[in-house]
Amino acid sequence: MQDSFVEDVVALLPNLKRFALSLCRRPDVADDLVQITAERAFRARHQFDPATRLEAWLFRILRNAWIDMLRRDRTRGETVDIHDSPQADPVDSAAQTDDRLMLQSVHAAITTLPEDQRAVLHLVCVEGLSYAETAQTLDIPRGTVMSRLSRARRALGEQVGIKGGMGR
Amino acid sequence: MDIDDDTLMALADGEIDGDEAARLHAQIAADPALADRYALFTQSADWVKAASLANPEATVSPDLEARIREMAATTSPEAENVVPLHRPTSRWQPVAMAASLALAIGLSAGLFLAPGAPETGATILSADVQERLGTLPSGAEDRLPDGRRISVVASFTDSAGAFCREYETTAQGGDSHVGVACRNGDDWSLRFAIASVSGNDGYAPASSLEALDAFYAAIGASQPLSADAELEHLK
Repeated sequence: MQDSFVEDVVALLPNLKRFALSLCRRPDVADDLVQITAERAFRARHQFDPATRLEAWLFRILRNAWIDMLRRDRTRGETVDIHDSPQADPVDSAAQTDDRLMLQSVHAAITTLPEDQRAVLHLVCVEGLSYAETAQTLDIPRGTVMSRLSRARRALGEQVGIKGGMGR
Repeated sequence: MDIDDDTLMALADGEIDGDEAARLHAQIAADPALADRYALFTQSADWVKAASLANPEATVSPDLEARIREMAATTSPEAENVVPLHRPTSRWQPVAMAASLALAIGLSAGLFLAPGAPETGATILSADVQERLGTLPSGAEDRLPDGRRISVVASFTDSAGAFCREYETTAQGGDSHVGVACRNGDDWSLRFAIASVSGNDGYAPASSLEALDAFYAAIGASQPLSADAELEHLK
């Protein structure tokens, strides 16, 4: 029997991995979080309200799994290095290099933001959740979503030099 | 007329649409300074998204996907192996604050609440109940010598790692209690109990269990343990 719930969850695994990375910044921990999230989702599938977005429900589970993990002190206090990027593409054009450097500097800047700002930035800008969905996912008021989002972007703008009129 | 940053950001994030959005866009188009401020929000969103999508670490390995598919095939949903206590909302989520815990207890026929007071609780659980807590797997039911039935709902660990169990006792007249006890050495101490006002269908109303959920959040309860993990503690 084709289980569409399972297929829907599997289809969202890359989104879960990205969100997990934005929270914990470590690929091995992110994989653990994705797996825990999927397991909890399969167990609690009857609690999912099909009238709501599956990804928002899954992000919420993942976020709670991350909090649980922190609470157990499994990762707290560990410093996280900004990882090396994979080896350079030997046929980079100058434009590609510029883009890649830009993305790397954005990535590096994001990792320096406080976790609560990373979470809202990710859910809104990458996953396209509304402010209301983000507020619900993170259990914070909508106004808090906006203030964190705005602070995060201002910090990014300063670090990376995103300014109006820059193009793209 | 100036537009504040919150409005510019909400516009960039698609939170504003229709006539108001059109009016704002027109105003931004006519004002270079405003356009610069607006660009901070649209461009930061674009870059954040691009950076996340381009992150080589953000891939799901075939191995991880395979593990998850296998898990999907072997994981049974909670509802199938616990006694019928209806919990429509997500449990074990640290949503509830301590303040709402106190409120919920006040509202919900609370009998006893003693987080962090094991010595008080230890005297309340009879040896018969304690014995069942140490042996019955979740989902199993037994009859106590005094005629009450006892069933264990789930096992979990608290934030300090103590093995805890949620259980329910039902007297012959139908009065039932839901309790949470945690193991402390050889003894079990009662941490939480409510009279569960069961309806005729045997389902406790959700409201009486909100206090329980708040309690779980307050003690940092883990997700329910799997049958295998539980067995380790019951040995």
